[in-house]
Amino acid sequence: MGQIPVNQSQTQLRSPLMPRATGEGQQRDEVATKGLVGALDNATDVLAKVQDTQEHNAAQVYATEQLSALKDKADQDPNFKNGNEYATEMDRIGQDAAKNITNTLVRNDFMSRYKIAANSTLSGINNTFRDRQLKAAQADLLTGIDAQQESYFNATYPQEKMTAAALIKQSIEDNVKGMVISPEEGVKLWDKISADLPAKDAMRDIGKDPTVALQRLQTNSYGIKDEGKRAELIADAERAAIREQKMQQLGFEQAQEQTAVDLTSKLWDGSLTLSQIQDEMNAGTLERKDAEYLRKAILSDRTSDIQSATKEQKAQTETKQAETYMNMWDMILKKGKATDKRQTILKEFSDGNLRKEDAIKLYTGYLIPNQGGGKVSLAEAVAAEQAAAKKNQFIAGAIRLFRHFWNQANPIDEGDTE
Amino acid sequence: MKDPNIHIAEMTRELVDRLSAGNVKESDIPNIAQEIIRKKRTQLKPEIAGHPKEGQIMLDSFGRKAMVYPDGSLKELG
Repeated sequence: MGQIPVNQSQTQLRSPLMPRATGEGQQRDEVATKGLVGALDNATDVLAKVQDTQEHNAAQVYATEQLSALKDKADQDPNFKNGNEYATEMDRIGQDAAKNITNTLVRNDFMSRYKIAANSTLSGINNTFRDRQLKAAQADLLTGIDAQQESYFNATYPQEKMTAAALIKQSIEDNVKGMVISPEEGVKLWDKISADLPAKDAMRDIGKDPTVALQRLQTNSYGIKDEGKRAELIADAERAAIREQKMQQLGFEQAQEQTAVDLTSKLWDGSLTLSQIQDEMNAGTLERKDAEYLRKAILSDRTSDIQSATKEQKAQTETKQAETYMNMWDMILKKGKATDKRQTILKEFSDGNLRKEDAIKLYTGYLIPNQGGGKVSLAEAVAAEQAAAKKNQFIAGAIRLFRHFWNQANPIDEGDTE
Repeated sequence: MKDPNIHIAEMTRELVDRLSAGNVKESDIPNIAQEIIRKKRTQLKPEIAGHPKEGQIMLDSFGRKAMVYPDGSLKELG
């Protein structure tokens, strides 16, 4: 800190007065000198006060910085026990800060103010520590409850589950007594946990054994009070049970195929939702390509009614749809994998190249049935395939006739008569 | 003039609907197909319905002659 040169200033002010000390003039000079000395004394006081203020301010800045740094250190201190160890450090900071204050009165004033600031900082340090302790205890409580919930889920018999739930309640009550949480927070926490436990239990069972979970949900042996939630879980369990059954019966690829067929049926009757597609995708029971076509088909089906088209556009669409319809017949009547044919019909529909009613009829009525779709004997499968193939043969013959009619035997183009 | 595929598709749709509607024997299919064709023909040329029942000779775009009857059926000539 820079020092103001007080003595040098006084010397400079006094020096011009010295040669005038004689006679009457001397008396006037003495009077003048007295007045001037008084003024100088006042000026000296002012300057001293300026110096005191500067020293006081500098000490205050230093002390504030140091206390703040000390609080940061204490707040991060993993080994913090109590504030006493920091009290000594605070005394040292105060002494350090005050040592450059020359005026005793000013120094005492600074120290009394510093003690207030230091106590406040110490109290802040202790409060932060208590908050940290509290949060850590609350985190411990929640971790403990998680573990206790595991015991609840893993328990087989109702009595065991009741005991596990009682232990959770006991933990919460203990923590209320230990003031880790308030009584209101304790009640709220238990209400939430006890309400969620049965549903969570059911969800875990759905993941492990959906068929058993479904039975238990139907009889509500979980004790779920919210009927809406129970209905939601039943639907989840049904889907999961069907998926599992399919996986067991059909194997992975056929299960995917069957899901695609099932969802497409829902698409045709308008009951398919995007979330059902997502569910099956997540469960791995729907091929990505099918999911993509189905999603697109839903959206195109929804928007087809609201999109306006010019007469010309409608005519173009009709032409395209007729052409695609006939191409689909060509495809169906040729040899090939039913899966590929099914996907092609779905894709053309989702692209808007096929009318919905045509797509439905082609898809459901005239594809060679996919034998992955259910439990059928080999003989039944062969019979179904033969029947479908025969039906398609009839159609193939008729289509040939129609084409022949148009290309070769259409004597009405010109409309000439004799 | 409509794209030929539109007419062929319309006839195919009708055939498919009729096959789906009930028990159709294999031997019936040509008759059903012919019936659909006749219907389409009269739909495209309504004046055919006014032809005498003995038929009326018409020419196609290739210059071929045919006797066309009021129900839309025809017999190629020559």
